[in-house]
Amino acid sequence: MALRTTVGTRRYIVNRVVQTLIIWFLIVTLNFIIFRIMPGDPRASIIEQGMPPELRQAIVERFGLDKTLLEQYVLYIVALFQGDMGFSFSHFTEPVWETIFGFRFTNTFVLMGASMLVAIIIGMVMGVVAAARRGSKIDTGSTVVFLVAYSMPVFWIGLLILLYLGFNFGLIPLAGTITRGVEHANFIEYAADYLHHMIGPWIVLTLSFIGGFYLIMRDSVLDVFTQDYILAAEAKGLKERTILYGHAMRNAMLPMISVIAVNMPFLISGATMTEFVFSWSGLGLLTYDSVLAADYPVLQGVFLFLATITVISNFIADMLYLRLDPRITY
Amino acid sequence: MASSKPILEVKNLKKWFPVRSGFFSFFGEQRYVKAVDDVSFEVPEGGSICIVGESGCGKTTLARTILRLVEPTGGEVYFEGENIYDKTRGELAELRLQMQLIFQNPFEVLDPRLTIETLVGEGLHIHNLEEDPQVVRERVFKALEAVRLVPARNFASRYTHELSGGQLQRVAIARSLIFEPKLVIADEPVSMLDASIRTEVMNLMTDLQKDFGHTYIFITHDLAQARYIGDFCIVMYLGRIAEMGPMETVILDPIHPYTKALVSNIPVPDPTEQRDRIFLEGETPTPIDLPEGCRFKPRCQAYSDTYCKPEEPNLIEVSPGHWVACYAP
Amino acid sequence: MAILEVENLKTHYYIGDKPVYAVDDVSFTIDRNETLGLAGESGCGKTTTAYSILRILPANGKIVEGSVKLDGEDLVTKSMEEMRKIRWKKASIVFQYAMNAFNPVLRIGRQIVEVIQEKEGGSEQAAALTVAGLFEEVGLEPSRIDDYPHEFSGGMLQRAIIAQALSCDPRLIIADEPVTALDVIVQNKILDLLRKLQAKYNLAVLFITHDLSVVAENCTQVGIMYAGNLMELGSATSVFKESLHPYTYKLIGAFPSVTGPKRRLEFIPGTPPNLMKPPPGCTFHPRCPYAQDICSKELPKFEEISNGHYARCHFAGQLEFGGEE
Ligand SMILES: Nc1ncnc2c1ncn2[C@@H]1O[C@H](COP(=O)(O)OP(=O)(O)O)[C@@H](O)[C@H]1O
Ligand SMILES: Nc1ncnc2c1ncn2[C@@H]1O[C@H](COP(=O)(O)OP(=O)(O)O)[C@@H](O)[C@H]1O
Ligand SMILES: [Mg+2]
Ligand SMILES: [Mg+2]
Repeated sequence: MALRTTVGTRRYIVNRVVQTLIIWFLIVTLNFIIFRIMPGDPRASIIEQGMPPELRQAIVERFGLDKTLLEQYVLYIVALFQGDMGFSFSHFTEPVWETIFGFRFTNTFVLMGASMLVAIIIGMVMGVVAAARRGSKIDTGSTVVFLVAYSMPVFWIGLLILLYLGFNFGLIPLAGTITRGVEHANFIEYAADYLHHMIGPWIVLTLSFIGGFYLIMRDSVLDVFTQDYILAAEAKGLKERTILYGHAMRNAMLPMISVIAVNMPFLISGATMTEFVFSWSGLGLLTYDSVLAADYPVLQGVFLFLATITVISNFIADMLYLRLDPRITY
Repeated sequence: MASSKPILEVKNLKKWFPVRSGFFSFFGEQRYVKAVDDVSFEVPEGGSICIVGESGCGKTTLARTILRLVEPTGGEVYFEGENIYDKTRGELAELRLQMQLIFQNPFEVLDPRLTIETLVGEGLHIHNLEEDPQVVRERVFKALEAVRLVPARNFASRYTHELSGGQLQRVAIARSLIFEPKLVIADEPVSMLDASIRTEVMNLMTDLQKDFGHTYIFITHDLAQARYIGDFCIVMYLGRIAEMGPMETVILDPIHPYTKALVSNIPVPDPTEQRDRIFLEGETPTPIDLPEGCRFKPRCQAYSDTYCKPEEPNLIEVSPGHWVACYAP
Repeated sequence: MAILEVENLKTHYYIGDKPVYAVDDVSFTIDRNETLGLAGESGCGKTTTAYSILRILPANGKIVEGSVKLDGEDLVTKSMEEMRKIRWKKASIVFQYAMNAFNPVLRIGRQIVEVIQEKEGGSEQAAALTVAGLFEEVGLEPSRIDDYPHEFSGGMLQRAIIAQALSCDPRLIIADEPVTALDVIVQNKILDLLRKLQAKYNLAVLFITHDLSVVAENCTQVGIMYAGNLMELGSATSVFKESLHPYTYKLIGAFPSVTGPKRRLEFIPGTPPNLMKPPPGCTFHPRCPYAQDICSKELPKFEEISNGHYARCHFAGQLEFGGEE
C-alpha cells in the first residue's frame, strides 16, 4: 500500500517535516537554557580547592565558561551541528558524543529494541486474544498477570531475578554486559556472552513494558468490537481469525501507535533502573552516573537525545497514521 | 397566507462556511460551503410555513442564521420590522425570547439531572422574568397542561428518563411556550418520533397555535409530513429556494423540475397506487464549487440552451403567492 | 417450498436473568422472488428477528423456541461453525448504516474479495473480477473497487453493500432498514435496484423498515409487528386495504401521503410496552380503542382469517374500522 500522494498530502508531509524541525530547534534551545539556570556550579565538580589560579583559569577557558551566554549559545548550536556536544566532565574529558553514542547507545539500543519488540508483539496478541474472550479465564488471568508485572517496581523484579536466576541458580551473570577478562575467540562467542548477560535486564524490561501495551490493545480492540463493521464481518461468516487479525487488530493498532510514540522517552528513561540493577552500561546508567557527578554536558546530551527521539517518533507515528488510516487525507 | 403583515422578513440571506484547507495554505482562493445562498421570504403573522428539502440543503443553517445563532455572511432579517443584525447583545437576548427554537432531538436540550418542572421553568429564572416561585410553578403547570401532559403535577416531579420520546418533545415545546413567543422555529420536531406518536405531536402543535397565536416555521425533510403541518411551503435545493407557495399547490401541482422530482419520489402508504417517478441523475452534492448559472442544471431534465440563461434564476411569481426559480416555461 | 420458514420464533435477551421478550412467537414464510416487508415501530423486535435468522445475536440474546428453516434446513439447531459457513453463502444481510458496515481502513473491493474467497475459494484475481462485475451490476464504476469507504457517498455505499450481499449467490437477502438513512430520491434508486436484482436472481427478500409507505411500494407480502409479536401477515394489498388488526389500521392511517385529498391522520395514544414486562393478554390492548375484557386476559392466537391473511386479534374480521370517535 503506497502513501496516497495527493497534493494535499504531500503538502501535509512537508509541513510536518518543517514543524518537526522547528520543534526540535526549540528543544535544543530549551536544553541550553535549562542547563544554564540550573542550581549548582558546574565548575565546582572539576575545579578543586587549592588548584593554582592559572589552572583554574585554563579550565574555565577550556570549557568556554568565561564567555557571555549569547556567545555560549551560538557556539553550542554551531558545535552541535558538527556533532560536537562538548566534553564530559567526569569521563576524563571524553567527547560527549563518544560518551553517548559509543558503546552505551548500542547497549541501550539492543536491550530496548529486544524488549520493546517482544513486549509489543506479546502485548498486542494477548490483548487481542483477551478482548476476543472477554471475561474468560484467559482474559482475567492475563489481565491480572500483566497488571501485576506492570505495577511492580522495576528494581524489585530486577533484584528478584538477580537473586534467583543469578545468585541462587547461577543461570545468568550478576552484572555487566560481557564477562570481564575473557578473550572471545570469535564474534559468535562474543555475541553469546553478550546475550547471556542481557537475559536478566531483558526479562525485566519486557515484563514492565508488556502490561501497558496489553492493556491499551485490549481496550481498543474491545472498542472496535462495538463497531458495526465487526458485526457485519460476523454476518459475512468470516473466520474468527480473519475478523480478529484482519479487521479488529488493524483498526485497534491506530491508538497503539500514538501511545508508543508519546511514551518513547519514558520507555527509554525507564530503563535507568534496570540498567542500574544489572550494571548494564547503557544510557540509563550513564544518566544516573552523570547526575551524581553533575556531569552537565553529558546530561545535556542525553536530554537532547531523548527529545530528538520523541520528536522523531511522533513524526513517524503521524506518517504511520497517514499510511494506516485512509480517512486521513490533507 | 393567514394575514398580510409579515412578522419575519428574510432578505437576501447568505451563510457561507469557509472550507478548511489546512494551515500553511496561503495560496489558492478560499472556497466556501454555500449552506444558505441568497434566500428571501416573508412569514405572515399567525402563519405556519414549512421549509422542506433534502438533508444538507441548508434548512438548519437557515434557522440558526435567522435566530442569529450564527452570524450571516450577508443579508438582513427583520423581526417585526427591525433588523436583528443591528441589535446589540442585550437587545438580542430579549428578542430571542420572542423567537424560540425547538430541536429534533429533545434529549440534546433536556438535562437528565433536572426535573421536568425545573426544565420548563428555569428559563423564567434565567431571564429574570419571574421571581415568585409560586407564580413560576403555576406557569409551569399551565404550560404542561397546554402540551397535554396532565395531570401536570404528576409530570412536574419526574425526570426525563421516565418519559417517552413523544412526551419529551412536548416538554421541549412547553419549555419554549412558557415565554409566550411570537415565532417558533421547529427544526424537524417529529422526525425522531415513531409514526404512531408523530401525528399526536403535530396536532398538538397546530392546536397550540390556535391558543397562543404564535407563528410557526417548521423545518422537515419529509414533504408528506410538511403537508400536514404547514400552510405555506418553501422548497430548498443546495442553499437556495427552488419553489415556494401555498402547501397544496406546491405538493399537488409543483412547477420547478426539482420539486416535481422530489414529490414524485415520496413513497405513498398505499400498495395499489401506481405512480410515475422522475429520476434524477446522481446525488445531491455539497454546495461547494457550484456550477455557473442554475445550480440544478447538472441534474435537470428540463434544462435547455434555448431558454435557460447563464445566470442564476430568480424567483418569479407564477400565480398569486406561488414563486418558482426556473427558466423553463 | 418456501425458501425461508420461520415458525413460532421466540428470541429473548437477558438482563441479569430477567428476560426481554424481544421476539415472541413470530411465524412467516418467504418464497423465491417474494419480498416480505416486516414493519413496526422502533423496538418492536424487527432487528432481533433478522439477527435470529442469521444467528448473529449479541451474547445476551437467545433463541428460546421455534425454528428457522432456510431451504428446508433448520438453522436453530446448527453449530456455530456450520452457521458460519451458511452465512452469506445462503443468506446475506444489508444493514441500515452503510457507512459503518465496511471497515473504514480497508478498500471496499478488498473486503468483498475477502468474503468471496472465504465462501467460494478461488484466486484473488477471479474474485476481483466477480466484484468488478457486481459493481457494474449495481451501477458503480468498476474502477472504484480500490476506493476506501469514506470516498463513497451514502448512495454509492449502499450500492456497494448490495453488491457485497449478492457476491456469494445467496437465496435470501435480509435488508434491515436499508434506506432509512438516505434521502428519498436516492432511496428510490436503491429500492429499484434491489427489486431489479431480486427478479434477476430469484431472491427471497426480508425487508425490514419502520416506514409503511416504503413497505407499500416495495413489498408483495407484509408483516406488522408490535411489542415482539407479529400482529398481522398477508399480501400487501390485503393488509393495507382490508386490515384485520386495529394496530395495523391505526399505524397505516398515521402515515401522511402527498397524493389524493388530505385526510385526517391517525395516531395511537400511549406508548409501546416495556418488553421486560409486557402487558397480559394482547400486548396492544392498553392502546387499543376496541379492547374488551378478554383482550387483557387472553393472548389471542395468530390465526388465518382469510386465505393467506393472518392476524393476532380476538376480534379479527369482526371490526369495522374508521367509524370510531
Ligand atoms: N458549522 C458548519 N461548518 C461547515 N459547514 C457546515 C456547517 N454547518 C452546516 N454545514 C454545511 O452546510 C450545508 C447545510 O447544512 P444544514 O443546514 O445542516 O442542512 P440541513 O439542515 O438542510 O440538513 C451542509 O453541506 C453542511 O455540511
Ligand atoms: N442486547 C440487548 N439486550 C437487551 N435488550 C435488547 C438488546 N437488543 C435489543 N433489545 C431490546 O429488544 C427489543 C427489540 O429490539 P430490536 O429488535 O432492535 O427492535 P427494532 O429493530 O424493531 O427496532 C427492544 O425493546 C430493545 O430494547
Ligand atoms: Mg438539519
Ligand atoms: Mg432495528
